[in-house]
Amino acid sequence: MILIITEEADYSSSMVINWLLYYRINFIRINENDELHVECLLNDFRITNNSFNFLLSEIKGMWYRRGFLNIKIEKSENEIINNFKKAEFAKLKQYIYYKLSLLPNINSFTNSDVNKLVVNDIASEIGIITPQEYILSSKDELLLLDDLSQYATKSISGSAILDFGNFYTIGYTSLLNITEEYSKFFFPSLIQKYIKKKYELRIFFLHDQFYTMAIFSQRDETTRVDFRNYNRKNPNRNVPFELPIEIKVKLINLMNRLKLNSGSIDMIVTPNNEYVFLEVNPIGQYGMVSVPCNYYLDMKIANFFKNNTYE
Amino acid sequence: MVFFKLFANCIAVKGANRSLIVDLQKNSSHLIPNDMYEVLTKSDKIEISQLYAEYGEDNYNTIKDYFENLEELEIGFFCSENELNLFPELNLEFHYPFLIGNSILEGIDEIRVYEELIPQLEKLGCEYVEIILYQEIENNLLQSILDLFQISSIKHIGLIIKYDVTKDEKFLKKLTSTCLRLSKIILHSSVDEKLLEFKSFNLTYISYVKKELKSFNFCGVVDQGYFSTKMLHFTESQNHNTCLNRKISIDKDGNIKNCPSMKEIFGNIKEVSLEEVLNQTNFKRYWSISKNQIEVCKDCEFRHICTDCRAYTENPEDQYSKPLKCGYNPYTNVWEEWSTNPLKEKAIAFYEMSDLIKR
Repeated sequence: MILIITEEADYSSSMVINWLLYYRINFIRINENDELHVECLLNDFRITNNSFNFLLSEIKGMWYRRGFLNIKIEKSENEIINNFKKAEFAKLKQYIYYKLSLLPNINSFTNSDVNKLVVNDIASEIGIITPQEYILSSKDELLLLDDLSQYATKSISGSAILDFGNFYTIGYTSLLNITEEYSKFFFPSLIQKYIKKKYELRIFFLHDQFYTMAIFSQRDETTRVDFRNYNRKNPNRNVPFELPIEIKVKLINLMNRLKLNSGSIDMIVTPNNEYVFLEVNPIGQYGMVSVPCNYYLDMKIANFFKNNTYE
Repeated sequence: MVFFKLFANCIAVKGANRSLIVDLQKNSSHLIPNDMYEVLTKSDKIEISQLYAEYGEDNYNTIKDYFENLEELEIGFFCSENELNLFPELNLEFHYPFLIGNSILEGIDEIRVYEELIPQLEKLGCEYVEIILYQEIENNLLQSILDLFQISSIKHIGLIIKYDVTKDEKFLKKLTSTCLRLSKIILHSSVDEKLLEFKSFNLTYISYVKKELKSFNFCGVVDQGYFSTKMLHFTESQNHNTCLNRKISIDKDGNIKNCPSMKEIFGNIKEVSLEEVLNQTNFKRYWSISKNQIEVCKDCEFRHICTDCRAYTENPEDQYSKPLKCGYNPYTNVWEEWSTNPLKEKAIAFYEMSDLIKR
């Protein structure tokens, strides 16, 4: 039986499940909002929920798609005791994730929370070109940079969707425009030098295989800095792309260092044919690569379990 | 060194007289002369100045204009020699995680039969069910039938039913808000022809048509309006029949067929399961008849975006014959009314379709 840890709204999980059903592979899908209870047995754990009930030992493969195991703890009256219970439970959960990570798997919870700053340092060590970037919190330091208009700011954590209840904001990457109103000190910000691009690459990496898509976004003024400013009338051209072998070798090296066997990697190819690494997202969406390139990534994910797990 | 390459998801399909570039990403298509098709098969292998030289001064401007237009339309791009290997062709594989994709339930108005069929269709993975009723159906019964799908894995439902005065917008509103799976409703035998605003009916496409449907012989029309430039359709059409592949139909007597218009019966639901019928090799015989094998269609530039019909063909004796209800001639590139074509008279008489003929 395959365990899928995911979120309720994740479409890709449902697409992969279509294939698992077709192959008649048993699976359990756990969404982040499923409240779980853990029963500790002599040599096993029983995980239960309103709609399923299984032993950890029955699981023969795991796809950590996104989200987490939402295990409930019985609360005590006393806050100090509660904190202790939480700490105990955290270790127990860690152990369950560890046991799952020993199975044939696609990613694991433990390695999924990557740090952009750390990843970029490791990538540079390996010899992958990364953007010139700084973390700054004062205007004085910022003004030391040459040609400020060639820099952009991005969030360090990746996602920047803020829900204010009656409205929400989405962070996009845009070029800096320093005005007088800039305060002397500001919140620590990632400042990155703008990279000219011939095309952008979205790479889905799965067990040392690369499924790459090139995006011709440079021609379009609306998507020049951030392709997520979609031009819906005339979308960017997205086509299959074959990475040069030396780039593949370096990326495999990087993913090994990060202990990731799958993830979505973003790169830029510059007009001088340099391959600049932007980031890796272990839980990123891959449907937008799979469909235009006809890669059948959902099927390939299911095939991994078909070929690597035995009941 | 400059070369010109079509983007991988823009694919040129050569016809007898002209070619069609199908843009599978932006879902559009562009006609080009066959000479240009030939140029495009070479332009990613032969350097552009050499290519111009090969075609001579007379053709220089035409070819150059085409390249520039294709670049402007973002159908292709100029690239350097080292980029050629970075942009592989699109794989045209077609994979589908269901044994059955769609089914047509014809003339069935007994709840009991639906109760029996739905679990069987679910087991086969069926995504789409089309229910067609020539006779009138009472609203409560229709609602009860649709309610049966509520906890099923069948994703979409299409209804073709007979109009009566109770099938008003109020009823349709109720129906489409209780059954979100309804993707289309066609009401035949209506008083007038109209199309309802689909946004007001939970995105269900609803149309009233005057024509009365008495049998399935209205189906099988090949027309530009049915063309599909979707990746799934284009790739499926490479090696499969774009109508009958992964289709199953059941009629009011329980007979299991490839489609309501096909004569051959593969069993009856009273005696066999749908799954058992699927395992008869004969049942899947038409699934792999692709346009590349069908007479005339195989020379047509539209063959991979077109629909097909194996039930009504120009020569009813030949399973590779051109669909009867296609009025296009790929050798002259002219569209004509199919039903008045004198060459088709015999087949029209054979299928007893004279009521469909336009005068």
